[in-house]
Amino acid sequence: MDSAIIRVEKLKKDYDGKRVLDIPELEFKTGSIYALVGPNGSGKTTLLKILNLLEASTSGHIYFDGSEINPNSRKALDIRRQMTLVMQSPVLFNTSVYKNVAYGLRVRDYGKEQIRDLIKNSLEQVGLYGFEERKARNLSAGETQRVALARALALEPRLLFMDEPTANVDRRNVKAIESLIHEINTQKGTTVVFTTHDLSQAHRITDKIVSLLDGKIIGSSPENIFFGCCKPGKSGCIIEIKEGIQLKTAENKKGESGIYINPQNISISSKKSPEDQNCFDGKITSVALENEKVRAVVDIGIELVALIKREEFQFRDSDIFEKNIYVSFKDSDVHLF
Amino acid sequence: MDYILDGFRQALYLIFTFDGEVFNAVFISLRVSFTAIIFASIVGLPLGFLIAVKNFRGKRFLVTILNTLMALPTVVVGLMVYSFISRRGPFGFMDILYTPTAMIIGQFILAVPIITALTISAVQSVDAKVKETALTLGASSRQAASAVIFEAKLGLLVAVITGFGRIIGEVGAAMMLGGNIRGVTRTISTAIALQTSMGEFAVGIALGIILMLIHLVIVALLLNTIFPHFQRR
Repeated sequence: MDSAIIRVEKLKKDYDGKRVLDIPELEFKTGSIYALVGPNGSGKTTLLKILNLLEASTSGHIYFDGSEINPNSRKALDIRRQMTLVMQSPVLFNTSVYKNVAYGLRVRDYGKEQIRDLIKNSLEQVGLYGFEERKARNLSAGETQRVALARALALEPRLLFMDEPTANVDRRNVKAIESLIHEINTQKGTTVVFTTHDLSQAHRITDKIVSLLDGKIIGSSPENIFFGCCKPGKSGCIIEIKEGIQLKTAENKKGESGIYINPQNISISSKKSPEDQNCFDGKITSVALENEKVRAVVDIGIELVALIKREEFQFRDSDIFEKNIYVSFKDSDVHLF
Repeated sequence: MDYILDGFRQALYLIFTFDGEVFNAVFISLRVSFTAIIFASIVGLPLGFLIAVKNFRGKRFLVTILNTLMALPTVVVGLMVYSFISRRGPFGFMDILYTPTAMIIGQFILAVPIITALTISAVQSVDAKVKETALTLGASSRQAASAVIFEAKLGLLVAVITGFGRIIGEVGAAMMLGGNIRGVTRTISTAIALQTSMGEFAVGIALGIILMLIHLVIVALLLNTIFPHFQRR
């Protein structure tokens, strides 16, 4: 399916006169997994809450299954019941695990038998079967996170939002939650949107990455963000981000600016690229395989991250870290914000 | 000091001989205070909840007033209600002065600020994420509000018990509005005041012990039945 389950247009959110979200357009396609990445305060959680209809936007439009949502209409509750959000530090109700997981089903007036089956399945999925009668507030942080997840899974939502689902979970359970995200997506067709600080996790789980910085969408990854002073060049401008390292951009701006280069637009070669306006020599410092792509970090005086298709990555020798290589990218790939 | 020991002895005697006058005062006390606390809870609990969850101008001022009213002197309430329901007052035609109804009104006024203020504090102490969590799980606004109330349940029960504790033992309003009429409006506390003024300290102490026992039994019942039931849920 290629249609968008949820889409926003001209979405803006202000807090105390400060704009914290400004998204011209964003959509999440049905049945896909999306990672929402960005530093603290970039607006990830606010965006999730707006999408889950928990918070109202200052302006803009939200469409669910192609129809615009009116947050004050009775239909908004029906739509909210097709999605759910697992918070970063979830709160469990002061009752048993069973009643916590049952809550969402009870408000939907499910029958007792159905509730029992769904609870059993969801607790099994998160590895907490047998915890039904435990007091929820006596659980460890990891178990709390998993009960919150079970509570969401029991609802079998069409759209599942997860705010930093592995932030409070130990390493062993991180793998389990990552697998679970895949499982519910493939088995139930659930669209999953999760936030994370861990880029490698984002790449591990999905190749659909949405990056937020200062409430704005900046591209596919929040890596390669620098700050510098713009000076006018022949076309566009030149930004010095460190002594001796000047980047050319096709965009025009004066003074201090943020710079962003999409890692997928950076190429690595053993020869200089004459076509690209930006070309620097340096050395590869680390290489990792992520989702059929090679993620290479190159030191050119600053650290640049490049995401290259596996078949296009030429360096396979053992002396990969010794060789001098060239990174290059077009001036049109250097974005100012 | 003998009269204290004598008081204990007499208390036991009055209890075990099922003294008519004492049990009548106990019955009137319970009837008046239970009725007042039920009405005060009907008003105070929802009012406290609304004040806690809604943001409006003057909210802090209102909460300050309610907290002040928690220490409202019982005689002031008695005087206030008296002025309204006495023959010359605007509600004098109702002819309720020196009746249990008048005492219920006085105790209701005493209990409402306590229940309201303690409800506000109980609801506000619930993590704000509880409501948000309920909404993420598909609750309507009303269902989310119920989730918050459920989390605050012990605090709400404490609010009602505290209100009851305040009114079951009060004298000022009961005396002024009830008139301490034997068998009609004489409660345990007004009987204590009367017996003490007559120099019958032992009977006064005996009634005092009975009053304490009543409160002890009520709190113990709540602690052992309703509290654990709430905690299990």
